[in-house]
Amino acid sequence: MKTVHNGKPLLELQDVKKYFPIEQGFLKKKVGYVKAVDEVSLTLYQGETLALVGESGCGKTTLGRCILRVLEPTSGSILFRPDDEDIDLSVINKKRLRPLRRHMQMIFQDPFASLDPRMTVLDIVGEPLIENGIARGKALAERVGRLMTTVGLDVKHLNRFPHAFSGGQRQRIGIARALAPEPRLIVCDEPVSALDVSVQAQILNLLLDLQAEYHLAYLFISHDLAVVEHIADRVAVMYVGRIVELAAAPSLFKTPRHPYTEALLDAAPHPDPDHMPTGKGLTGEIANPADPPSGCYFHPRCPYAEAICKTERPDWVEVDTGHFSACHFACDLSLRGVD
Amino acid sequence: MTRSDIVLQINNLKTAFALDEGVLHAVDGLSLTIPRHRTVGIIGESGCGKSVMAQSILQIVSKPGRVTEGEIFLYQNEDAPLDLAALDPFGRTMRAVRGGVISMIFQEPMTSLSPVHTIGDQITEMIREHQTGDRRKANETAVDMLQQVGIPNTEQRMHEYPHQLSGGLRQRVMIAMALSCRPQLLIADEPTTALDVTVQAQILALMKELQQQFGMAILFITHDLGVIARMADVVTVMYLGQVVEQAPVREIFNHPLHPYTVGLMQSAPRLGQGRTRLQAIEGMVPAPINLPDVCRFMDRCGQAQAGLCDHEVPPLIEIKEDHFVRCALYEKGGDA
Repeated sequence: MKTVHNGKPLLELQDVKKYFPIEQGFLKKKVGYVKAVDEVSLTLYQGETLALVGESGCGKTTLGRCILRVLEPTSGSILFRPDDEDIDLSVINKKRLRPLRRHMQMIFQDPFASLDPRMTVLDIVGEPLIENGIARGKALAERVGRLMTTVGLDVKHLNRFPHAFSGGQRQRIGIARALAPEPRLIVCDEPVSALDVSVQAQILNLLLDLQAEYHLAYLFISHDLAVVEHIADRVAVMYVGRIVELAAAPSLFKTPRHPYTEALLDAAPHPDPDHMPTGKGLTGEIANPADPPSGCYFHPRCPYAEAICKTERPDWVEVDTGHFSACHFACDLSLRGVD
Repeated sequence: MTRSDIVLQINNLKTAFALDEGVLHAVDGLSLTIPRHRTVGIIGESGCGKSVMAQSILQIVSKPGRVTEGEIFLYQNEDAPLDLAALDPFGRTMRAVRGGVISMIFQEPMTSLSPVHTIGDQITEMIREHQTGDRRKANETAVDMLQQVGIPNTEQRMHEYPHQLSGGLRQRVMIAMALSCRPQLLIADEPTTALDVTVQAQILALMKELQQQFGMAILFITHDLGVIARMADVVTVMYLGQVVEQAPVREIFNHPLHPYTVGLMQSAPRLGQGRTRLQAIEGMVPAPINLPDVCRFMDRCGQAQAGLCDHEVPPLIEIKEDHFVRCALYEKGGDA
């Protein structure tokens, strides 16, 4: 476990918000905001995997994009420390951002949509090397070849196009491209959810191996708790743009402190016919971030909700060491985790 | 099992696609029995032929795919069974079977509902086609069905379009449509794959409840071991167009025999294991074109033996009661 850290985190988010305006009519009058990411604070250390878990529409991908500055956050700060210097990604201008890009890379969900069909593997994996002035010519081909071996692809296939590869192999190409400029941080956005089970296991193992070898930091975005448990050091659970629980993975899975986490664990299908969900499954669906409920956003679906949950937004409290939860009854409820 | 307990019996079904590269055998000699009121689960990775198998039953395989061999017997009542494979896909009988006796729900409810018709129009069209020509009666049945699948404000929803509903509600509409004509068999092709886990749990519970109520058999197709464990009574594992193992759900999860089934079980991440490496199956599923007549899993199998696995496609044998496996390692009654 890597819970003890010396020095500052590689990435530090403070009160990050990303609001998308809802515009109406010809004059594009702003009639409201979709609060896709709302007051999110997180840290990520070198060599660590932080998983971001939640259902569709909870803002996990938007947060990942804000960190990589694909999107500009509405407010808040995103401190990134690839070297000793603190850099605030939320305010940095494009010119200064560009050389930083090599330190932060992304792996995408759909390996069929994320690779340019007209580029060969050499072009795809080599592009970030050329862009960042790391290698060219003969050295480039050599280096791409080494990357191919690292991710488990055959060097002979360097000049092939993406269509000649299977889903799992394409995901390996995507990983090789992300690894190419020797980044410190990789944002993995649902990297295995489009893959078959047997291939999914191969890719997860590869990610674990690469992290051990290159001391990478992963922000691992996923909706699948079973996958997350196999790869994460710490887990943050998101609901309607907010983090509702954050803890070291074993602690979160054994003793969840937020009813939403309990519900997610309960609803997750187990490959065991004798395991049955408790049956107090959630009713309703995820709230609309353009028009969230009052008080605690989760209260309309929460089996433990009381009067206070409808009116007051819960505080972010540290229930145990390093285990945070945003629930009025975080300390009182005894929630069911994974046995 | 006597004949009256069976709703569908598939014998040696072969569905092939004639492509430029060669003939792709998507389903290659599949036999399957679906008992009444029960759920048969089909599990397999992409490309194993599980969806094409389902489409073959309803004769809706897209071109150039074609059922080339085999029989699909539908036992409706005391009459002689109907061989769906021999029927004209566009004929009157097949149209009456589709939606009326056997109906299907698909993975992506957005692509299987029409975006330019209201929910109400789409459900009543189906009811009027199969059950009653009376508009008012059809409307009543539709409202009643939507209520049964747990859709709030039914009357209002009838006038809405699919894009106004969430993914979970859309899938409920699909289920309401599929069940509105009281089919004897419901084919569910990855019905919850596009949904979030909490919504998935709701839909799975709903399907079980409706099965109790309506008494239909379900053919449940998925790649998710967790979902199959929750839904199926009998599990069939497919690999490259063939059944490699079949057994009752507890038996197959507790005593998987085929190396592929064992591999699938081990590679599936499950909660409660902590931060560990998974045991992946090496390699990947090859395209089922011009496959040699040997065990199809041989190249990825850790237990493959030269001389044993590479001279024929092993037959599907019953190793103990109701537990079938297609693997040369078990052929002489020995254990692998």
